[in-house]
Amino acid sequence: MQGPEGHGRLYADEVFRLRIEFGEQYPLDPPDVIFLSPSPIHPHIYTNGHICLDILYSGHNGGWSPALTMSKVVLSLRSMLASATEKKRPPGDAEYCARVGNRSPKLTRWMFEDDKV
Amino acid sequence: MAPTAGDRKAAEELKAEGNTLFSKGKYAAAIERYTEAITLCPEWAVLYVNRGMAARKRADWDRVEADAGAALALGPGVREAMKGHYLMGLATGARGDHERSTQHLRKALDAAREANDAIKDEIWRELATANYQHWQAESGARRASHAALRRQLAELLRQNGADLPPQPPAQHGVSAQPALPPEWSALFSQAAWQDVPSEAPSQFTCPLTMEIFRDPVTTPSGRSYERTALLEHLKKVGRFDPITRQQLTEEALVPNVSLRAAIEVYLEEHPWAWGEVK
Repeated sequence: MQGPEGHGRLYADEVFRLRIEFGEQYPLDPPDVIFLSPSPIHPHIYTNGHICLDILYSGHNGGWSPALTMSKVVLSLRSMLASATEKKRPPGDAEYCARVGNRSPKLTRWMFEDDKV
Repeated sequence: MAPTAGDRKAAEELKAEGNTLFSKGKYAAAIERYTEAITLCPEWAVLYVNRGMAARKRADWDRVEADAGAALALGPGVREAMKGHYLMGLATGARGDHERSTQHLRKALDAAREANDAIKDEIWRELATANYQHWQAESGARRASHAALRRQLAELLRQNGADLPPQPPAQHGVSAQPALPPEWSALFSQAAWQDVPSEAPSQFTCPLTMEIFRDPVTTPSGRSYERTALLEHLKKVGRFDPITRQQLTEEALVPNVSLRAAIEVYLEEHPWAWGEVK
């Protein structure tokens, strides 16, 4: 996916690759979506490619809906990059990556209270 | 001669035994019980329906057709008529009479919807399959007749001294369609258009299953979803409208009868699309 223009043009000249895995229960379950290395340096994206975005997860505070198409998911990711004001990793990035390794991001208990970047 | 009360009682017992054997998958033994019951009460439609259902499991289509016909001839109630037409649709379809098959399955579906019987989904799938096979047979015949017309026309044009485009070479040993002037070719493609599959309009497909609707339901937001897919969503993902995310419960769903009717018109006009709903 092409980095969005956005107001800051922080990612405008970069191209990122996503890995999207659909499980047996799709679309009732969201697909596994992560950025392949090198992932965008962004306050909601960990070095291992895990993305803190509510629509990628179901459950009590998740925002997944089976009506979401992959183009809507990618649009949300581009919008997330476009609204960034600073290129930095989330707090606790190194600890998080060391702890979860390569397991599915769906196993993480995400907190989505932060709406702004 | 009307059966006596004793005959009726014995027939009921035989029917119950037959039903038990049927549920255990012992269809031949079930058929024997129903046959005995029929000799006692030959005007009891359910017995023919049940025997037909057992014969269906054994793919004995002559038996199925005879029993379904006998049941329907007795002027049965709604449920027996539904099953009678269903069996008749399957049996006529099995011997390639797609036209009668679709007529009977259509009657069975209407009756199942009226009775809101769970068998309606199964009947719908069989109807879709029958309609699709009907289309395959008919479109094949249309293609053959168009090809014959093309050849005749090419021959006539040639005899009239018309300037025909060069004949395309044969491919894989099959000689190609005779080349025709562009205006004639356009006419033939137009005639073949109804048999060319394309993509169904998005308003006729469920945003969850991406398939053509069978039983669309509308939420208070005005969006429509396939009933079974939406119920699964409410159960497993959450009690919200998948598109608007408004709170939603099963009680708020209304069948979208108009959309269903519009889709049936669409399917009549685009019979290849039955292949996508079966």
